[in-house]
Amino acid sequence: MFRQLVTVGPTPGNRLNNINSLFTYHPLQIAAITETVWQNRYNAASSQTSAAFSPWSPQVAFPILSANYFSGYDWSSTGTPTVPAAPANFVKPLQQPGIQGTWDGVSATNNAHATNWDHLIYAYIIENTRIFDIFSKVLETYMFTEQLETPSRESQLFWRNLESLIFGDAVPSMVWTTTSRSRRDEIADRLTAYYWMFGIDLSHAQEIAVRHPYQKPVAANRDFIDTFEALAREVWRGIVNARNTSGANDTDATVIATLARRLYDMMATRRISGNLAREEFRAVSIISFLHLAVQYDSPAVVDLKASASSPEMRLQKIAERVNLTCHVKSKPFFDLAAPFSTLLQSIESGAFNTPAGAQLLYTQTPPNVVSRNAEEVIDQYSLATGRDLKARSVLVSGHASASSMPSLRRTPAVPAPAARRLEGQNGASH
Amino acid sequence: MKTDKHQGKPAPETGVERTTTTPETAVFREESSFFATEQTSVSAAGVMTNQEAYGAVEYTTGRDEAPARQRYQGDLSESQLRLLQHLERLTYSLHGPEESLDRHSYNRPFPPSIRIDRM
Repeated sequence: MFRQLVTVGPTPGNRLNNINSLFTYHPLQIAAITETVWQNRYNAASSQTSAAFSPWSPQVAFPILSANYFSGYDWSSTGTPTVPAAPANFVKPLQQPGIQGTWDGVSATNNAHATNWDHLIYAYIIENTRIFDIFSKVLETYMFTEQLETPSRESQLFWRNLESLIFGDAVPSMVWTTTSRSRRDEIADRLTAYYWMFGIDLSHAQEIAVRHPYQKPVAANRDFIDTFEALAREVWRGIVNARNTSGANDTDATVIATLARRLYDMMATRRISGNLAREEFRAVSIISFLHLAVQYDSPAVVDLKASASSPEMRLQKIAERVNLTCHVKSKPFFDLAAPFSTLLQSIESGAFNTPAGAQLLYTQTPPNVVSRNAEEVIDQYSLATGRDLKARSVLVSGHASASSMPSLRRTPAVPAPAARRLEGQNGASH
Repeated sequence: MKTDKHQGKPAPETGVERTTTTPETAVFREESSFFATEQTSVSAAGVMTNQEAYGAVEYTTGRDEAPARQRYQGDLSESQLRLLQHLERLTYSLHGPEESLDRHSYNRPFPPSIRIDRM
């Protein structure tokens, strides 16, 4: 979500100043930003998956968003204390491209533009790099030891925001607050959401589960990976054949549409009436905040002596400062997250549910963002997982009835006794 | 699925018994031998070596180049074009700063300016 805040909008501006300013805002201003982004979401209505949760009204958020940088008075001179000037290149929250021009709740004219944020898969993939655990450990090291150099002032502001917004108790009235006395462990809840939506765990989930035991819902999308990989292989056949001039054309738009429809349905089933929308919003927001911090030599990176030329190298150097290590495939993770997010959002829009729509995934005339994005996902997914989506699926089976399509549902895992009891008491509500 | 009763965490208000669920699925798993080697390496260079060995660094798709020869695919219909425009709008709203940030990594105008204003 913060990725889009600093880049997308009517006037893109200077992204670096936008991000540096974001890290220095008051936590309440960042809270108001998240509420405003949610307020202007593109899918607030007219869909079976639209979420009806109301955020802070614009009348509440705008005075906070309009406030300038104000850290205190300068009493050094005699007479009336002066207010130190705002830092040069400081961007007020309301001037961030992602929310600039949104309705203030008072004006007669409303030139609002729709906001959007990443799919939950973005948070899942970036979190696989261990970025959350690494920043958590660094914060803990800063708090309780002097093993690291004292952070600079601008870095102090970043860590304050991180502690307050991500590791602290959130403001109860906020949309993105998803913890309470009944679900206290946000990390465990996030792993549950990943399993719910994708039927998979983080690569280091076993370590996390020791300290953050989490539930695996029985009604999870355990077919997601099989279905997605089948779709990706068919799309790749389409891309290959679109570029060929001769030979057999085994592209099958109907199969692609069927698989896309299956993904659409399994996602929509989890999301009916906005279910899991706030959890997804929270997850992608906090992960994107961390992601931004390693996308350039940010104040936190510089103070940790982790300057490098790429996000994964910065993350690894930060990890080394606290005796951790990031995932060895962090590079393909960073490269995969955004395109995968775009692809899944496109699939969830229902655009590829018909053979005509499915052709957009591979057609090359005209060259379009959809097929290029799909190709990038196929490339990076193969690098990240080691599964070659460009190879044809081969089934080794003695059964004549073997199908290249994944079965509708695998045999469900036997639920844990506690999970059974939870289902019995609470249903599927979250 | 293997479950173990977890004793370390206080029970939630609902009084429901919690369990530690041992993960059984991870698509982006770290291969045990590969990762075991990596665990002993604490150098950033070690990671780069592994990534190069894996082929991640030099991998390019050449996707920005228009294919020289193509099978005739026909023109998009009106509805397909509208759909494409919708998807492009959706894609645009998810753009991130990855493309340009690294070029400016070593020129951070904002933090030094804080120091200037403090003086």
